[in-house]
Amino acid sequence: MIAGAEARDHAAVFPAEEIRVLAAQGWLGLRAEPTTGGEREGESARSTLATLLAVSEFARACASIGLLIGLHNLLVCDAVAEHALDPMRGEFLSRLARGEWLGAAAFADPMTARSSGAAAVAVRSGDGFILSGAKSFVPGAAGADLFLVYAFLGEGPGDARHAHRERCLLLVPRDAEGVSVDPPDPLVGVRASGTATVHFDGCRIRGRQRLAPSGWARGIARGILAAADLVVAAQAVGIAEAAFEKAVRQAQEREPSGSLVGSHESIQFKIADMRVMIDAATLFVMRAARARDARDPGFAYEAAQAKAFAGRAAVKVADEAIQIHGGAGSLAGHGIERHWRDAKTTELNPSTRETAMLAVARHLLDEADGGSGRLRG
Amino acid sequence: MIPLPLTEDERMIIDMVSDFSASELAPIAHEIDIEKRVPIEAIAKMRELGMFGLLIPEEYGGSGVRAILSARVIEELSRACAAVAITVAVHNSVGAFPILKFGTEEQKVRFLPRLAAGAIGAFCLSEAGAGSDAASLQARATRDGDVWVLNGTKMWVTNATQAAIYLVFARSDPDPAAGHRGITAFLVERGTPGLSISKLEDKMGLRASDTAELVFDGVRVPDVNRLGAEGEGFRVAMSALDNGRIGIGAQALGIARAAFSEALKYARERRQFDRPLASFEAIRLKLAEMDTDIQAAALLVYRAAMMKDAGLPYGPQSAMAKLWASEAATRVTHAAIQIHGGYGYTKDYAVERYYRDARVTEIYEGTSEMQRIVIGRSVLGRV
Repeated sequence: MIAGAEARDHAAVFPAEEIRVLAAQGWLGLRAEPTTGGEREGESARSTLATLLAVSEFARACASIGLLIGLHNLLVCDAVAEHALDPMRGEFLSRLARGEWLGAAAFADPMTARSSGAAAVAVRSGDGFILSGAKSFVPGAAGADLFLVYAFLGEGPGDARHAHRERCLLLVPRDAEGVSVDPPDPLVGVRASGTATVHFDGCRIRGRQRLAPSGWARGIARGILAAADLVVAAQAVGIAEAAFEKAVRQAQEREPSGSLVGSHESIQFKIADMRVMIDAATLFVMRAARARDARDPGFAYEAAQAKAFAGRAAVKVADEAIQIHGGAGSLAGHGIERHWRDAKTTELNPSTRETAMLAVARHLLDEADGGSGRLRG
Repeated sequence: MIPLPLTEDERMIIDMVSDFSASELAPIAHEIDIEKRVPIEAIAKMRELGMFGLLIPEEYGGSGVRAILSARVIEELSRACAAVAITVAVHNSVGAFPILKFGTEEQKVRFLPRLAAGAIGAFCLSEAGAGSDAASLQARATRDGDVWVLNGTKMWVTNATQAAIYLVFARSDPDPAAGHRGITAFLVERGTPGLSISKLEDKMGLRASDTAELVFDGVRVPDVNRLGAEGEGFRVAMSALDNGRIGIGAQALGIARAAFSEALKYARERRQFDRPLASFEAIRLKLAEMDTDIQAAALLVYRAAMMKDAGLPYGPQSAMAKLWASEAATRVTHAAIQIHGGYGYTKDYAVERYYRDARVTEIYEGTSEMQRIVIGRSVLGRV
């Protein structure tokens, strides 16, 4: 997977074959009930932490695959398991968990010059909806079979411009009529993640493909986005570990000027600081994973903090890893600059580090206010 | 919230310490800092509460609590008064703990119940020429029959004026090639002839903690007071410091929490441009960064303590905890002053004391540089 990761990153190729193999091994069914076809059984294998450890391990080899495995399991599978209505719940979950379907979460509204089209709006029609518009920066879009779409709920096309309107969460299979996926975005990192804009051109959605009743979508979406923060945090830990491992090898084995790289105090100190940051990032991920499983109200805060810390740690660790490699570290194909580019995305996905830190601040101020929201903003 | 695996009894102990800190230490912390005064009365009350027997097992008169609880206790004390906290931390982790780990049964019986009852311990390792490079210490221990004669000068001795029992490291092998293997540890009683205080330090922070230079001039110590084997002293010192670093990490964590709580309070109350400071994005981000720094410190400190409790090797982890927590404490207290603006630069607000108190946590019980060497070596080996 590691050798392939370099090539896929270079060519920005979606790892379709690798995902197929991982699906066959059960890695798309980490969260599912055993009865629905998930390969892994037992409570521990289904904990959030166990899933995140897998995300980190995959991300160590390939940041794109780590991200896809995490989003599929913790966002799509969990949302379907918890909020989908029967019979969709059973049918979709079984396909997702057995690995027949790869799920992708489509949350970002088009806002860049590249993303064409208006935000996705679902308009009521009969007992269902007509979905039109687009979602951008959807990781895994290139290979996904099911989209979890966070759309506006409108009265007609073009309604999306109104603020504070109702939202809805819809499950939309890739093969539904009217769904199309743009070519993948030329990203700086996670280039093999198949991140792309998804268009919905008058897709007919049955009422039962909607998650949860009216008015609940925003709250559920917040939980899903917090889980996305946590997946990216675990991904960042994996990226950092990969860069660290290479930096350590460089320090222990290379003698560019007659002495081992690692014999220099400046390098030893860098290695020490890198190790501390990775350890702390891992502990943040473990803490937030526990909060999620315990349904702790502080979960979103802990996930945002984990993401902010782990993302920054990954960027710094990958940056120093390049430094320890010297000029060779900047060579494409040398296997080190990829981690640097991948790491940067963890400070941008699913939202920026600043967004995460402002959420942390809001939580701290709300707590100090005793929940009065006096300083909410 | 970081969920710690504490029992109901352990939580009660933390609550008790927290209440004591708020009612007995917080009100005097400012004044004892200004007056550079060891708060004898408060320390007497802490004796009664059993805070000097935390790490000593019940069979020797202590409470034998787990490292995680001991760390939480130091953290709680440090939120109110970091100077008093270091008195307790040094006593427990580098005063009493080495006797527990390296002492003979006779030594444990002789010293631990006294230490648990509040006879204070001190740790005498550093010298004028031997700080981070502790192995180069020059104090001499010369054997005279069943007695050792100690000569030399020790620096930075915490608890120097109040201690009853001093753990002293001296060179017992005159061969300079012996290096760290020529060092032996001794337990010296207060009042032993030849032991005197030559200089009380006037410090930037932790001013209510007594730090002094001690002179050993022909101090005679019976061989039964030798802790560990001859030549084992350096190992005793390093093991004590591995343990002590959790305590310093916990102290730094407590100081940082106190500074954050003052900063948060001030940011919510202070208004500029018709708005509370806490409504400005730059201040909000600063608060979020401070909290993140603190949470990372807490996670690292608690991890090191829990690894110790699990009987796992924890040297590199305690170095990481101490390194991060101490540097975080400096960053957080620095930011807390910034949020307070000019008021934070005065003694009318506690943040300037936190800033001064925090700084030494990056220096004592191993500088940040020494922690990085320990951590770097744990990853790279000896390259």
